Amino acid sequence: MSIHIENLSYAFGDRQIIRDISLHIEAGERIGIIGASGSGKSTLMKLMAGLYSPQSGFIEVCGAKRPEEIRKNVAMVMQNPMLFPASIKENITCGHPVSDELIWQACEAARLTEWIASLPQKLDSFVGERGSKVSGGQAQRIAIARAIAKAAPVILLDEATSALDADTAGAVLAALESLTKGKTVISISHRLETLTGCNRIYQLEGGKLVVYI
Amino acid sequence: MTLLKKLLHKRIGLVLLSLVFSITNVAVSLWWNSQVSIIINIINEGNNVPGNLIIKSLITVLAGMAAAYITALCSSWTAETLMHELRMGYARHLTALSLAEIEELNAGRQLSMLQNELGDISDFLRSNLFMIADDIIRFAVTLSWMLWLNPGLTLLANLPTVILVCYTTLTSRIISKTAIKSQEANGQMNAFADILITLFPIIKLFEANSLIKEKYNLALEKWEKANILEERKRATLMSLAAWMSCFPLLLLFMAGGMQVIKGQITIGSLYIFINLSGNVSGIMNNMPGRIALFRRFAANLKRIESFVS
Repeated sequence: MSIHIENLSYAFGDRQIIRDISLHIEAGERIGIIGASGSGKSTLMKLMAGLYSPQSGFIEVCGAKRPEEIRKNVAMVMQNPMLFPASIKENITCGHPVSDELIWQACEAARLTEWIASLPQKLDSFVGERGSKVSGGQAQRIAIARAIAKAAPVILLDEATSALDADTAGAVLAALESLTKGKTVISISHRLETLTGCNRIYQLEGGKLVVYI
Repeated sequence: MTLLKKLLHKRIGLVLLSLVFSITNVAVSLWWNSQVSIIINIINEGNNVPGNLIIKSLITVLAGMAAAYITALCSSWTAETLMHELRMGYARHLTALSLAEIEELNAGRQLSMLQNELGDISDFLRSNLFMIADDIIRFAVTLSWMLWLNPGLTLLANLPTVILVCYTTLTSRIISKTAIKSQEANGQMNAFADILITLFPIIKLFEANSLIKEKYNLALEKWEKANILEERKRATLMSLAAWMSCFPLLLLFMAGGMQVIKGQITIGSLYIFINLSGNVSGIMNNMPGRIALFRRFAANLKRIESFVS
């Protein structure tokens, strides 16, 4: 469950975003990364998720170096829940064969059970295009349930509560607690107060990681 | 239809000019037919056609050519202007939206609207709107003239068209409903282009390719079925209309022929009725298709109405 980054660099065209970053994260550690808007936090997150390939250096997640193998060990919850125009069940399983028991366990952990039970179609309820038929908090918890159902050892949180108001953020934070228990977690945010509970916090500035706390 | 009324009102001058030229074109065409009728009657009596009549007919031919050219030019120009107004209205609406409203838009659906609905509307305005107006003018003017020439023969030959009009009105509503379903299915399918772009990270991370492919295939099947149903219904209903449209000409030959034999009308007059039957019953023959096109056009306009200011 460890993550090892060595001499990682990444650029968009002529613009260097990540400059020679090296970092080691032990299994079960919680790491926070802060930085101003446009500092490259999301780019670093996507590199760690195996969505981008490093241009120099390497990333190793749970022993895997190739992006397609890294993606198998990583689950991500982003600021925008990014729901499919499908049912709640399909959004959680992503088309994979998952037992109903596991789905309900994921819903329970994501604090969704009561709400889903109140729906006429239950898990088969359609969430709408871009989650238009559910609230922001419900959509985010569905995204968390999706991450729980994947049972990946590494969790990446990309400003997971930024788009929520104070009332809905509480339920989402409780769901995130269930998701991140016992996992290796990397959270990124532009606000320090959202990174409480992290073992270490870094600041990303000028493409480089600097220890903050 | 509010949008169409707004568009026409904005360019009312050009629209009216096109209609005036269309009426002129029809009038010249009817005048030409009366010239030919006189020539046929003279030849039938075994006489030579006077020179001044031939010159008059030649002038009528040239006038007909000029009228047709000017009508086509004016109606094309008007159609292009209307289309330009529509596209500018769409652009004005998009630029006036707030960032939050723009984020709510599905790029795939908007692209679909630009390519499909606006494209279909453009084709209709360019190819069909003034053709339908021309058909209506041609029908009304020709029918009025034929009724003045011989009301009995006109009514007898065109009575079946009344039944045909009722039939086409009913069938066009049926075709319109299937056209709307087909367009909705098309929009849903095109929305997947936006889904692939915006949800790409999640699709990759959670290996949701097969889910998206399954949903897309479902949308594709729905679109395919809706399209096939629309085409099948249109083909069935139009072919029946085409069969029904043969009756006016048959009745014309029977009744008109009898009147010529009895000496009640001249052969030249019968020629007018036969030649101009296309302006009445022939237009009715095309009416199911025209009305179905118009209803599809109206459905497209309705879909984009809220996106055009």
